[in-house]
Amino acid sequence: MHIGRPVRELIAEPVVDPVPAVDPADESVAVRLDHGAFGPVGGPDDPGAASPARL
Amino acid sequence: MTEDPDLAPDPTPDLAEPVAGWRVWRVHTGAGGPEIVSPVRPVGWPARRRMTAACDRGCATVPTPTCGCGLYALADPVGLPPNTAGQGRVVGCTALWGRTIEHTGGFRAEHGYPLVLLVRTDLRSMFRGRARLREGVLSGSAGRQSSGGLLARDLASRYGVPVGVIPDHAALPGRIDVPGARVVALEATRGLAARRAGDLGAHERLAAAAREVFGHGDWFAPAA
Ligand SMILES: [Zn+2]
Repeated sequence: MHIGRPVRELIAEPVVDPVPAVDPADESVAVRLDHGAFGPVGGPDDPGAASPARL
Repeated sequence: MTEDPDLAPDPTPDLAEPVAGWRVWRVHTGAGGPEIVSPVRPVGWPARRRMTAACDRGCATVPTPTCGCGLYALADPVGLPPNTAGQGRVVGCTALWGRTIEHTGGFRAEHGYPLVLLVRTDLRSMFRGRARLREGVLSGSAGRQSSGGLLARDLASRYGVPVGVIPDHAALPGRIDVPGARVVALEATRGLAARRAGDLGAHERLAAAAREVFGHGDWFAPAA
């Protein structure tokens, strides 16, 4: 990866931490963004899907 | 190793938000699920913890202008290596912060964490046969879509960031719409707080911007 020559040095201190919280409860519930709404990963083509409840 | 005094940082922060750049990771799957790994050395980027660069040459602070150390990213995705996001790789826009050196075409930084990841559907081949992705019960186009989606979902869940599935034919790295990619990077950065708070509109704006550039595919978001 060629990033060229250095131009300037700076310090970035984000007000919003780019790292999400470590929350085990989060780790099982990523959801699919689908036509303007969140749905579960599963659809008719996901036999492993959880219940079809939408958020 | 000496620093160019003209490049020495002012101790006060210059930016209150991260720098955003494009880069590539390899994907490994272990007991804890998929992990994104540096493409140049076997170092994984940890989930839900910031990645911090170290220097093999012993720089006391990383990165320094005269060394090559630091976490790398490109300002625009046009310079990504061939086969990006295929062959067991994912591409993404990463946040970089801490000590950061801006280059003419990218950045090196002290800390990093992905803002958004993009998984190509052909990554499914890498995971074929792995029970975790339930390949055995999927077939045909439905299997393709679900397998790419499952990997994307697993990355989104583990890393807590949005992950898009992009088509195999997505124009990577060539023919990238650079202004469009800048919109994606800007949205990925500026929308961070809103997405973290579960703002559906912020998720949709990022997904829409990415689809404009990379093509349409499923999009997965971590729960708020
Ligand atoms: Zn160094």
